Amino acid sequence: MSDRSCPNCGAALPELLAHARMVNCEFCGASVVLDDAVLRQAGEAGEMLDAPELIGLGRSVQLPSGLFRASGHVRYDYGRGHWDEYHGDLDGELVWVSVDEGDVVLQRPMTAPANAGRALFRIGALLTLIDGDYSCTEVNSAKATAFRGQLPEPVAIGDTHLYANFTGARGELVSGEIWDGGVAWYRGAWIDPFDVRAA
Amino acid sequence: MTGTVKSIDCTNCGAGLDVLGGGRVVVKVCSYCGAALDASDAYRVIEVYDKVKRPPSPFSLGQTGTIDGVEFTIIGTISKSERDGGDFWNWVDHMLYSPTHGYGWLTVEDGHLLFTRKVRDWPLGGFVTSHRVEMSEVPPSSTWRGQRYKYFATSEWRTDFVEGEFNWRPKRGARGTTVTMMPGGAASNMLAFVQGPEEREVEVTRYCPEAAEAFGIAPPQRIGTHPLQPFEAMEGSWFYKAFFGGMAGLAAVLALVSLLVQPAPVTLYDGPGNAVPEVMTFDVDRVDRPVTLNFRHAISNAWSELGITVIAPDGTPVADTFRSVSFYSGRDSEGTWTEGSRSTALGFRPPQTGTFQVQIEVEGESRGARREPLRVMAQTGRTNPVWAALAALGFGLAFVWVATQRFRHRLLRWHGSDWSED
Repeated sequence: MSDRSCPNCGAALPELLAHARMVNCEFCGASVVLDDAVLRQAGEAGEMLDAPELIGLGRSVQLPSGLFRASGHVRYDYGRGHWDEYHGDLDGELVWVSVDEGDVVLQRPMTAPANAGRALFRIGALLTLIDGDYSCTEVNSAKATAFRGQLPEPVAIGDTHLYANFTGARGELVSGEIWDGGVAWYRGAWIDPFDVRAA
Repeated sequence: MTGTVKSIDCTNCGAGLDVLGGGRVVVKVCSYCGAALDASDAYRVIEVYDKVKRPPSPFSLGQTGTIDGVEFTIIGTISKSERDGGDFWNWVDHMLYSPTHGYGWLTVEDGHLLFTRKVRDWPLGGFVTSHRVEMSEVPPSSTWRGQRYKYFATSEWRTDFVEGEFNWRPKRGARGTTVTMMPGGAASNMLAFVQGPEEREVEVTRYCPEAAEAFGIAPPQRIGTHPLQPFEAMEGSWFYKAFFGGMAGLAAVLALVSLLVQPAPVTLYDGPGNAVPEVMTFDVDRVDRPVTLNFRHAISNAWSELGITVIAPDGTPVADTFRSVSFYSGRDSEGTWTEGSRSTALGFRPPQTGTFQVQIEVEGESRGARREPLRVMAQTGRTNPVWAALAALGFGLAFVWVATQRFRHRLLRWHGSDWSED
């Protein structure tokens, strides 16, 4: 535990990681955001329903590219299902790992493509990057329903964003997200779920 | 959230249906009325298929089992078939779902069980189409995860039956093409380049006999050898190989020894054919070994017939027969030639020991053959190498059969390849 306490209930918060900008209070379930060294409550951390997980918070797993230990976990609901995104350390590098019913993708932030407007968020749209063309295979809205642990950026639990997945010729993945006031793009590398092993 | 809806009523027939798959399921085909329901749109009816008899399979919707440490549920069933001329193949694919590892296939093909899953890390060289196969002069190959895969076959399949849940939209009657590749050596899996009506996928398939026990069913009766079937040495093959090899070697040595270690023949007569003694004798001291009488009549471009009578020590005739000898030679446009043989033999098993008599009469002759030199020899106590040689051959064949199991298995695995140099 750290010397920081939850602004909602006063309980001690866990030791904050250097990159952490958002943490959940394990006692009252509040979502706590760190703004310029000041902690403030930003709503609830949401209810994380039990579900089988390939990756768990604080549990190291061996990925083909290294040892990954998740320190943050966000769950997104797309209506008929959900996927999980884990933020953590991959052999010293902070990365996101997305897990969606066996589709495991190691994601790193990328600069938004030049033509990455809303018009690109449609099935079949072609995204041309320096290493080839990517075809849009999925467009949907997703809502962050819960988070646990510590995250490098605030996530608005309950807010909905539009996302699009683009697939390359050899299965490479590029994801775009749009929400009120922001966009984010990630380049992904697929990981065989059978290659994800407990460390 | 996924998992909150565990059952629905079919929007076409009202039948209660379990929801087995995850959030990525897009179609559910009613097991009762054959209606395809859109899972992403309140299960509205997309189309209704005519009722088709469910294909035979030991697996059924809702069964769960653990493969490679992952629990899967069977959520869908598809049967496919392929016709090529008069040949017909069919198989049943069961769609599997795991919340952590996603979707896969459990296939029943001629009683062989296979586990298939999609991979996104496509092989070097990209997708292999049937067109590329047809244009290729050598069997196409791909490298995936450091292993080289060689072209095996192209399947032009048709979907015959659909039931349950799927994470894409299967259609009865839909056609597709699958190009398969296998490693050249001891294959542990097969790459499949699947070209469906709407998308391309690369799948990897492995032989999965343990799925029967995992899903609690009796192992199906397997027919033939599947290309992915690993080699299983017959029980005790090392013993059989050593036994048959050792016995073959022993029998061969015995045959060789019995061939080489023979008693020396005794010459009974060696002189002109017209001066043969009336009676010749030889002694036999073992009745368990055969006797051979050899005759060599040095005739040229002539024939003779030797009347031979052998009488046992007690006066009993042992043989009363004749042997022909003819030998011709000459020269023609193709060179010299010979025909026939100057030698003949008579073998018998002696009924008793003692002194045997031999009488020879030259019964036929031509152009003075009777005067030509005739040699008569008796060889007693002979051993017979034939049985040992036959045993060596039999044991040798058995050894080769056992020793080539792996090779024959490999031939059978690749027997189904449709590659031809044409």
